[in-house]
Amino acid sequence: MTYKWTEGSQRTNALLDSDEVNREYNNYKNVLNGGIDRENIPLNAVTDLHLKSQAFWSYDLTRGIQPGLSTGVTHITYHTYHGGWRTDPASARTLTLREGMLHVDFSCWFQFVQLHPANEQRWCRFQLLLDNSVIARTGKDYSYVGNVNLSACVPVAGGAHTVDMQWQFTPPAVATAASTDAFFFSGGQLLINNRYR
Amino acid sequence: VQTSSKRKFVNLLGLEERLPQREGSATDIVNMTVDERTGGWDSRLGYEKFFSSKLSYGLPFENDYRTHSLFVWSTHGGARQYYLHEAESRLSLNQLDLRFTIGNPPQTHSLQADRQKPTANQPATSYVPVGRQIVLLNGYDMPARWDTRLKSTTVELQPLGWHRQPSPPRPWGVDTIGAQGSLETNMIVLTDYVPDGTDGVTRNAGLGGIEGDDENAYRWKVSWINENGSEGPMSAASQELTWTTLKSHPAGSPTTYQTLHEDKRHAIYLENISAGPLGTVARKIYRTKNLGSATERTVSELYYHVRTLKNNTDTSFIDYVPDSTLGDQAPGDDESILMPATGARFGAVFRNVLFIDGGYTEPSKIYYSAVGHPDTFAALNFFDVSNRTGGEVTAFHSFYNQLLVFRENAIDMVRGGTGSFELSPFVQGIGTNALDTVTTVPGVGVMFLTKDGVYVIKGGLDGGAVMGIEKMSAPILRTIKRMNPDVLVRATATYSHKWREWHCYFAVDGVDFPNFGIVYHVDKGEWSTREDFPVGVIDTDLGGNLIFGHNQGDTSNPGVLGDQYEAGLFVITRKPSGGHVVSAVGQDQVASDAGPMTSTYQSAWDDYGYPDQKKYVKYVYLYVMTKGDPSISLTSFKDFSTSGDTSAAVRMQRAEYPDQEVFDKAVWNTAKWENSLYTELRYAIPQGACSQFSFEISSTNDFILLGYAMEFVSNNTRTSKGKT
Repeated sequence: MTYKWTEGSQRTNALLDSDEVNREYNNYKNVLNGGIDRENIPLNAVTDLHLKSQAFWSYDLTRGIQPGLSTGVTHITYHTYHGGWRTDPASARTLTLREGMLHVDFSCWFQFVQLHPANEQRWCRFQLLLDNSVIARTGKDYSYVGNVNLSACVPVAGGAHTVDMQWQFTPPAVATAASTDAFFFSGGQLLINNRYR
Repeated sequence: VQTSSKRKFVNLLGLEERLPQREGSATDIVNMTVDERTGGWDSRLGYEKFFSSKLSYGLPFENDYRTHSLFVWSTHGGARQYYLHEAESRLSLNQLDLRFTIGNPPQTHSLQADRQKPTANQPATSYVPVGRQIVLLNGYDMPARWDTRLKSTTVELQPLGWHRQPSPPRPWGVDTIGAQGSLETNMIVLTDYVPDGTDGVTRNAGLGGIEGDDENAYRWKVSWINENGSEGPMSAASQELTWTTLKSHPAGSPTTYQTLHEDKRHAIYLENISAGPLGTVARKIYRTKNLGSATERTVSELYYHVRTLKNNTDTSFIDYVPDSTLGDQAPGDDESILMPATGARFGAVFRNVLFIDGGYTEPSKIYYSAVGHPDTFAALNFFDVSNRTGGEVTAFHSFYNQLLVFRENAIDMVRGGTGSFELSPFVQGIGTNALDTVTTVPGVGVMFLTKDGVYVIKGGLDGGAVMGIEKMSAPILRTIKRMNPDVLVRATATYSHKWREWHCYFAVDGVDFPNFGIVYHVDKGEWSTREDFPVGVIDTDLGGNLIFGHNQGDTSNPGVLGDQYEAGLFVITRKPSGGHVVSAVGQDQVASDAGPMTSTYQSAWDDYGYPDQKKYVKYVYLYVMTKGDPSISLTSFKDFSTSGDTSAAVRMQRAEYPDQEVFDKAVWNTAKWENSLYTELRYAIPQGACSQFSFEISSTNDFILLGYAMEFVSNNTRTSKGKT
């Protein structure tokens, strides 16, 4: 919106012209009713106190994410996992978002059970997906116990979108029994913050 | 015998300087616009400060002299408008400060403080929006582009195009005997590998053959990619790396090192991958396939994409990409060259291609970029117009399906698309170097000022349309003849959809800066003039407001009380003020509104159909809109005399009715709002006999003139015998 300069003037001894007055008055009134922007509003005229809560963002928080909606410590075994990326159902969030930026933040801890054959190098990975496209992925973490923190901030169009977290860990070695407790993660927290444009 | 008669004119025309004048036209129309509600000539205009909230004309323009260039760049749907301008400052004479305004608080932000000041007969900076960036060209400073997103960086202007090319990478040698010269060892690929997470197909990694005594040779090249996705010129080829694959079981007693290197492919370490200039976001590495034996070479030295380094920091790369998985063939060396026109003066975008001129050194050349990549210029993407008369290239303007190429004395056209263009002549004998006056006016065409007047290009060449050029300024030829053609290049023009006017300002009466304006009123199709508007350069913002930069600025600091004290940007508005004067408020000097501007209307010379018969004009009636108690006097002239008789001033109230309410006399809560009413003002004319008659109204008061009538009597008196 451009600045508002003089559209009409009231001069000495000039006619009490309603059109002239209205034109000048409406010139400014129009700004208040739809034309306020960074060009014509004074610096610091709007502060946090003036903003309605969640006027410019919304969030979605999912806590307690762990494998397969399980409760307690229930390790994944090779009965149910043989490698590859696995979507965690607890973290699958379908949300109606507004155009702007989407900040996705995920954290959890994980643990490998130390009953694997010697010399086996084990690792795990986690990744975040927006509408089935990867937006953040960890590297392979070879430690037995560790923490995961994934953050991504991507532009997003308005409409329904799905955010997923996927995990992956080492497939079974030849000598590994399928019933072996292998891997576990818990304390997962997925924060989705939609900042409007 | 006397006969009485009357003449009446409504729907008044504009300026007419040819004789005899058209009926209803005017001899002079100065500082008037067309009232959109009545179609009459309206005196209500003036100009005011750009930052209307600033009391003083101090910061941010207090040190400015002339404003040399101005461009209003609207982004974000108009929520953000950059009023880019260049001004000379008393603090840095002969240098221009390129900057834009910031609304709250009023200030400017400098983008480059030491830009070249053009002479009076050179064009100022040309601004060419290209997507989210704007390209700046002035013929001296390096062609630059500005991206608003880079406001926080220390270097805000980035060079347009590529001004240097990368140096070639240096491959470390292949060491099959363990010499490790210069501590530059290399890598062998022990086994074929399966890329992680893909289709499981086994691939042969590494370079070179695996058969003993295979002769291997490779070269590499590097290119830079900038944030626009533009790929810069290719580096020269690296030195050729050659080696022979170590044969199995070489004669003698092979060392462990040699045994390991038998029949192996290699990974090559490349160093000296040079970082690109500011704005580089990636580097592309290209390589030949195995060129084989140097003496029996059967493979062409073609380069293929190896990998893209998605940063501008890595200086090394290990190449183990086998020939079978190389990517696309590299662009040719002629597809992206160093910036061909480092002194480009102006440009335009046509069909997603940036066209620029060759600058002062190659003024007859036109270079154009790759489609969608304003930084990439191919070696053969240029036109040279020097083989046809018409002079240097002076301006570009996109219009419908063609790019108009203005020259000093001709106009050519570029047509085509998707990177394939052709240049053809459009008209010879008409041209201009007033590049800032070339304007598309809706419903009219492309208007531009030349040394001999204003022309318009209409129509097109597609779909059966006809393209033509017409002269528009025939009615104002006397005014055009006042022009100083030597500084035509600094003339400035713009079209405002709000005012529905094309404004053009240029230097007249021998002055070397714009000091006079002509205005084409689209609704009437007529001309008027503007005086005392200090327009040095003008542009229109998204709202149709006419923004201008001062033609001289203020040379006295601090200002002298009572003097006009103006510099920087201004706006032509309805404010009854001709700028600002210095006045004192306590200890401070502030900028007060100067008095209203004088508007003048002089009617056409009217011979009432027969100049040889003498007439006695008795009354002139002005058809006006009531404006209250301010009065208007009328001066009558006869027979082209420059001195006339002034009638008593008449208030702009209806003669036979009670006065309408006016400001300063109306009583609050009693007076009612009024409407401006159509009425006649009668003036008695004291003149004697004349052959031709004209009248003039000139005032600083508001008035809207819709028409006029004249009552006169005539007898049989004829013009005297001619003098001998």
